[in-house]
Amino acid sequence: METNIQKTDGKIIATLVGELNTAAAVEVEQALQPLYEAKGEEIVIECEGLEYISSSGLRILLGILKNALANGGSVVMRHVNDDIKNVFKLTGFISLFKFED
Amino acid sequence: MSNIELNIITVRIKKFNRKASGFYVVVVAVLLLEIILVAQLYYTRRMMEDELERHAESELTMKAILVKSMLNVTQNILSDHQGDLRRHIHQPDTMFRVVRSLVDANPYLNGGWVAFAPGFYPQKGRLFEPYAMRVGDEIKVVQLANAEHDYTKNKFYEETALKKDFYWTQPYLDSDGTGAKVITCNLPFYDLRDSLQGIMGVDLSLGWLADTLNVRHLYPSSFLMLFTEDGEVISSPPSKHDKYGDADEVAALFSDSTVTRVSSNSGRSEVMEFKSIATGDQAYVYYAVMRGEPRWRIAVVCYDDEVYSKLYKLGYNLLFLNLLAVAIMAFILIRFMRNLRRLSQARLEQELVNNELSVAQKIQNAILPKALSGLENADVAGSITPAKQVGGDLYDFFVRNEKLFFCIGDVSGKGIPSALIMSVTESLFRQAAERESNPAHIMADLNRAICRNNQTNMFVTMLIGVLDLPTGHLRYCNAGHDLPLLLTDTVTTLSADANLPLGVFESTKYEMQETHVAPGTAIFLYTDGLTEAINVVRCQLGLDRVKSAIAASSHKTMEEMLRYMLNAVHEFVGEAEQSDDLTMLAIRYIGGNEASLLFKEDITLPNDVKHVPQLTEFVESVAQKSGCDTATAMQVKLAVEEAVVNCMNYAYPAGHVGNVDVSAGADGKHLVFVITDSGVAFDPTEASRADTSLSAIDRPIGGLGILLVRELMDSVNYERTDGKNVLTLKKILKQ
Repeated sequence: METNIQKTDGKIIATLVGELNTAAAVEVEQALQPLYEAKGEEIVIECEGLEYISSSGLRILLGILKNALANGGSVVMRHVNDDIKNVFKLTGFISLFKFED
Repeated sequence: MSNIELNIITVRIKKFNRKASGFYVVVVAVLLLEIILVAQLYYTRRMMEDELERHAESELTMKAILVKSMLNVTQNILSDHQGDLRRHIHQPDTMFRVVRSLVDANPYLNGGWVAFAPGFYPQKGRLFEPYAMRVGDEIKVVQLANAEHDYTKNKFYEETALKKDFYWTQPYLDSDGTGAKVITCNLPFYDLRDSLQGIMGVDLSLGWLADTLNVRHLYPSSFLMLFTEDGEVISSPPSKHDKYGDADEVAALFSDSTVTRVSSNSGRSEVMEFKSIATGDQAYVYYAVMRGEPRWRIAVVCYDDEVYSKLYKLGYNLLFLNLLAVAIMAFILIRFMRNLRRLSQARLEQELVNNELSVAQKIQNAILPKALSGLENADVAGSITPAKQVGGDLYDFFVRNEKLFFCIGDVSGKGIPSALIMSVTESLFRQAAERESNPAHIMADLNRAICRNNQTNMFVTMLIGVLDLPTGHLRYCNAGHDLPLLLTDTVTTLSADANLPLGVFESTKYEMQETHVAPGTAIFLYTDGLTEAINVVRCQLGLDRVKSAIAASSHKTMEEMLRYMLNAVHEFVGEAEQSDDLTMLAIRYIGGNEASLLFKEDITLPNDVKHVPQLTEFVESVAQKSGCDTATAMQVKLAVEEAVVNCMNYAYPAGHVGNVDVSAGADGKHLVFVITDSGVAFDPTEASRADTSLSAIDRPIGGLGILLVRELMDSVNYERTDGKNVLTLKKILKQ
């Protein structure tokens, strides 16, 4: 599981590559710590390379979203594949996040 | 339903007709009775009219004789005194004695006189008329004639002289004498040369005549009147008579030629109808002409109300009796109709109840499951035969999370009350079993609900079972019901401790029992209507016959077995009436078919999430072997990860090391994962579902894993067996 965070033009772009399973979640949560500290910037999560996500991964995304909303920011999920989008759908997360292709 | 409505309409029409016909019967009866009454009264009246006519005629005849005799007596007095007169004709002064003796001869004579032909006694002047009149008890005698009172100019004098016989005058007021109303009888007398010497006369008091005539009456108010030929009143009723006032009107009737006069049957009299203008009283006036001279008419007036008073009284009595009879008849009729109506009402109600009952029976049958389709590892069949249209027995079965939930029950009593409790119990079972897998808990739920609403002290014996289809693990709870039978090689009884039936005490604790059912075993549940089915000689079917019927049909499907059993019961019972509801439920556990598995793999992982990649790898390889597509593979991977992580995180107390076993298999149709841990009992299938409709802020972190497992897999089954949590996840493979 690889993560990368870039800050440009007041946007924070986080790129997730690989499988975000329960085992990877601990490490990913730490890596994405800057997103938890965002002060109203637009957060883009680049998911083109994301192959899999478990509920613990969803939990991290929910935490980021809650923080961003609390600080007047937003979270955009970009390039989410259909299988993962289905997971968002099943859990009702589809209505919480913005999606971009 | 339309049939029922039609029935109601027909019955209403019939009812209306019946009501109307009852009314008509009464009306016709009243009419008949009244017609009879009127006819009776009419003929009686006719009869009474004839009777009255006879009475009136005899009265008239009698009174005519009386009057005639009085007139004769008066005439005789005159005749008798003629000798005396002749003897003393030459002594004019003796004539005063003669007239006195004339009046003295009879008390009803008011006056008497002799009027001599003019110049008969030259010494007495031209006119001489000695006159005696009754003044009180005295008789006064005077010479009446003078220049003013010239009797020769009186009508009576001329008429009598002309008639040369007795001559009766019209009634007149005796202004010369007593001043009373009188009629006068005159008799002329002649000398030997037949020359008129004078006329003798007596005044007869009309008052006296009236008194005499009206001494006795035909009816209390009837009275007699006497008229001259010209219709002048000779005699009226005495002034003290009640109907004195009508006399003038009756007199007027005689002078009125327009009044209809009807001859009597005998022809001796005529009758006129009279209606008093003053009083409105109606009367018949019978009258007849007297024979001989004078040709007076005598009339008797008879008042209707008196003539017919008896008839009217009779009429009233009859009317009263008739009305009484009609009232009694109407009363009897009403009672009769009411009974009839009640009967038909009862029949109608019975019909409606029967209709409703058959609907209820259909509803009851509809809520009972017949069979389960697509169930591979069990064969289930149920049958219910109520003694009445609706019964108090129930059974149910359904599959949830790879578990077959079933129950059989018997509500105390029969008929509608039991059926109501039965329906309630059935739906309570469904509700409870939807969220609870422990039969004892389900039983306790049912008991609480039934106790809370049990006002009729009814109770339900029941057996609830939960058969775990993957493992054959059977958990059951018995609330006072007949013990199920188990069919393996032989027929045995499943030992089931009897708890109290449902509905007895709210606080009853229900104990669960468990056993393992080997594949191929059949469980046969029944209500006592089966074993206690009675034949014509009141002998019960009994458990042994049931057992042998089961043994005899051991190779059959469950449905066939039940049919076989029902036939056996019918054969045994014969013509005897079914006394109790008969219910059976048969379940054969077929079991998972291990042999058909394409492969079976296991992995054991410690309770640490860092081993998840190993799990992921395992699931991926299994998915690949099963030949499923990548999307399904990812779903299975996610579900299994979530389920296993759940066990890793929560099965064992913190810091406690334990294992989670995952075994996977596929049979071409399903991909199955069985996740087992030895941790604390936890049923993820009963955990509350996460609310996916909440906003991000409100969304709790957690609960997602189990949600995903449920959503991603086709069935999720939890079973706690041998101190282990066994979670079976199944995914149907697309063909």
